[in-house]
Amino acid sequence: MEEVEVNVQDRILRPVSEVFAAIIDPAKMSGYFISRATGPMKQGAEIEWNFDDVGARLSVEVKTIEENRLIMFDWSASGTKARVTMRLEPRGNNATLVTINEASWPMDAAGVERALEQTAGWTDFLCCLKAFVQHGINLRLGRGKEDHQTAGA
Amino acid sequence: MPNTLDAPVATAQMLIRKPVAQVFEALVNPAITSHFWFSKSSGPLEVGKQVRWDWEMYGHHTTVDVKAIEDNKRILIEWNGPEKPSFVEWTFEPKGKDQTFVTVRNWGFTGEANEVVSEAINSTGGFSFVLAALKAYLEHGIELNLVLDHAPDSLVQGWASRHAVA
Repeated sequence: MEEVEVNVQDRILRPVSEVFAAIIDPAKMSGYFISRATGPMKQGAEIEWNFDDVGARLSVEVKTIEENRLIMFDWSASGTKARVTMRLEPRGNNATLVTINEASWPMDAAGVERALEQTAGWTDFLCCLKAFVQHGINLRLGRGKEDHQTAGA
Repeated sequence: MPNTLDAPVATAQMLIRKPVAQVFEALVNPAITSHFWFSKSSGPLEVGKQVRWDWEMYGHHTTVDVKAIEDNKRILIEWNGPEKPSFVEWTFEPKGKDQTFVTVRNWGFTGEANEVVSEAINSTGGFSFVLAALKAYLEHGIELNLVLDHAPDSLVQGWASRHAVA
């Protein structure tokens, strides 16, 4: 059976080392994506990411880390286990092309639904990462249910 | 709109911490939209009008037919015709006085099943970029250049040097 997967990419105007650190270090990642993690992304580590804004908690099995080049992990954010591969490619000294792949799901209605949701999620992640490392802002702020309820306060 | 394999719907959503009138204006007024999405437009979005949007950095353009506009509530367009027409609808939902929940849906893709799925996935990514760029621009006054940086290898020759980005 055919399968469906997710691919997103964007260029970030910062060196690869800075982009890499912003992903593997939870103190940095909590500035734009997670609320907290049980540890850094290290090869072979099993960690947990907490998203307090949406009340979610996800296990992350880190499979491969190549410094400044590759981050690969398994998780079940889509409802079934899938593999995420992030590649960092230098573009000159001060820019990084980030590509994110999550694979895969069967090419059926449920699989396509999962791929669509993960496409939106990873695109948003990449935008938040870019805003964080380029401008030091947290683009994820204000997304939680509580924020909606206190809107205008 | 059922999300089936034959007729997938691309969806993107975002909470923007600005009043609904300001968020709506950012999408009908091309002088604002061109800060975070297309680079040029032939005119504002008005019901019954046809406009052209250009992404000059990629040498790409599309024709937009404005089907419906409800002030501060909804925008419905048909675009990418006549070869690949599809519908795009934005809805704007106020969350208190100062925040707006924006939803974009794009549907009506044609072709083989694999092709429509691929279009829906690409569109979902595309509109997710647009909403994040809109949020960064309205909330922080920042141009993230998400569109420009999406496919740096496909930029029109000379664009990067004309618009230094590094």
